[in-house]
Amino acid sequence: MTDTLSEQLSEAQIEGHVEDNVEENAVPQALRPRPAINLDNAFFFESLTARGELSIQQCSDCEELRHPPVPMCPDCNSTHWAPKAMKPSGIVHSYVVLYHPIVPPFEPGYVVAVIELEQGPRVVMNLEGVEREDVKIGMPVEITIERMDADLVLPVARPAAGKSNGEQA
Amino acid sequence: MSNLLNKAVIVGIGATEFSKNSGRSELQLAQEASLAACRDAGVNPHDVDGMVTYSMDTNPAIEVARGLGCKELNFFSHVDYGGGAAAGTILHAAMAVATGVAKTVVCYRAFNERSGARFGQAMSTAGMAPDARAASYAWTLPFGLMTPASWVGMFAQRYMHLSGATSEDFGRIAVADRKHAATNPKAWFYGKPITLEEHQASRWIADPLHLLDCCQESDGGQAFVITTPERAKDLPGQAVTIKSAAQGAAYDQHSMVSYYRKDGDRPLPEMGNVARQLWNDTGLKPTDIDTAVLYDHFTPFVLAQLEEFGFCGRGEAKDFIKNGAIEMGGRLPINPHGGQLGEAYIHGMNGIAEGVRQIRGTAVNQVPNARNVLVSAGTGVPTSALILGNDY
Repeated sequence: MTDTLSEQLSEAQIEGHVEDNVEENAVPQALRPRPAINLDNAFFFESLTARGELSIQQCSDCEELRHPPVPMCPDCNSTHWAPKAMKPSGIVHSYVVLYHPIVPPFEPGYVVAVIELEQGPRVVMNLEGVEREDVKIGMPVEITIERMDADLVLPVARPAAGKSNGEQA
Repeated sequence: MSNLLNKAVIVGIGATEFSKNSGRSELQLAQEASLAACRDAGVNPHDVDGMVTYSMDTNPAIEVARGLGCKELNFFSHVDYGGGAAAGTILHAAMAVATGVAKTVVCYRAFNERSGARFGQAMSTAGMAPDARAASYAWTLPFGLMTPASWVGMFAQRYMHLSGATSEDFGRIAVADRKHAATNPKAWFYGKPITLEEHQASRWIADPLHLLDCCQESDGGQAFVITTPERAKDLPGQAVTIKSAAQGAAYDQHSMVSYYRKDGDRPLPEMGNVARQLWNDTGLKPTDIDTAVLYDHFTPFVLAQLEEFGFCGRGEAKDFIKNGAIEMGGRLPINPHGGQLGEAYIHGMNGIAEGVRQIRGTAVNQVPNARNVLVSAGTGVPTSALILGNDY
């Protein structure tokens, strides 16, 4: 990565792809854990930060989507791949509500979900904008790309507008 | 089929006390447990020539060997994947003695997991080089999915959705374990059974997991001496046959977070892999097992293991466990020592010791005439299991 995440981020925000998940005038607080970034996974976080896109690794030979990334395609063993931007929608595959231990900036009762993207791959992300007792496996979600702090941009799932909670999964 | 059938025995078991604050180093615990295992076997510790432990154990084989006074080591192995390695240590040792690579192997695991580094706290990769192991946490930690309970809770929620199992079904595992621990003087929860109501009222850790779905945090050490059946004949320790032992990972395996498989509806295919090997090796079937020590760091995975080992069909564990089926006197008593919820969390190794005692007939909660005992290792990770018997 040539630019810092925050430099990339400001450009993406200007273009309107990244929403701000930090309250204005918020008191400085503990930061979320940083992802350990290396040659194999940097594209995922760069896509979020620089383009506001949730990108999944796609085999350039057999076109299989795979997540979490791995250098070699498990289907055809090709090492040729490219990031593919995903449609920002999916369903809740499973979820958990966290109470203990709580590490700031997280607060008791936050929800983490495995989201199954419309295009197939599953990705862990936070599920917001819904009371925990209303979360249902199979419920449709839409995904936005949000800035958590100066150097961290992550996908966030929220219940899809205008869709009823699904039970189909 | 592996070529290991009945070619190795456990001839000694030894442990420290299980506590919340041992007051001594992990290395001392490892040496004390190993020495106790040697004495149980009747082996001179100076003659131990092989050592096996886990990737997460902090005690190098050569440091343990220095204390034991081992003259020389011909074999040392460090089995990966935390609690999933427990039965794997016995497999590696059995392979070593069966092939003649070593004659007398000690397997050990010792830690101050309560008074020292606690596994239930939030994982962090801060300060770690971003190698593949650290990078694997990039998909969970930034979202606050940072603890073993949270990783397992995600599986548990999906399992409930698919099987119809409820939190009360998880609670029945905890109640059985604690009932057994209540009559085991070495258990931390000796004399302290719980009710299903107490399980349900215990606080949330990672919904759907209550506090009483989660195992203890413990300090302690556990060790074993493995040798050949022929050599064991000359030793005073009561040998128990390793009928089969196997390790297993499955397609698209991750450590505690295998959420991405195309068949996302089977929580523990890696244990299914291990189960298939054990049944094929021994010719045994689930109804031949007299008691099972099933790894119980979190209750939901005990249900999934009952299914993967074929004690019941997929999604049917919630029915299998009802009416005391998994308690002493039931059709498959599990964790007669109280398991890791009741006795202690020694990363699965104390469960193997219970398996040995059941075959020897020396357990405090003895299953009558136990001939075949299944012991499994850590779940959600690449794992292992073994079947012990008295064919020796």
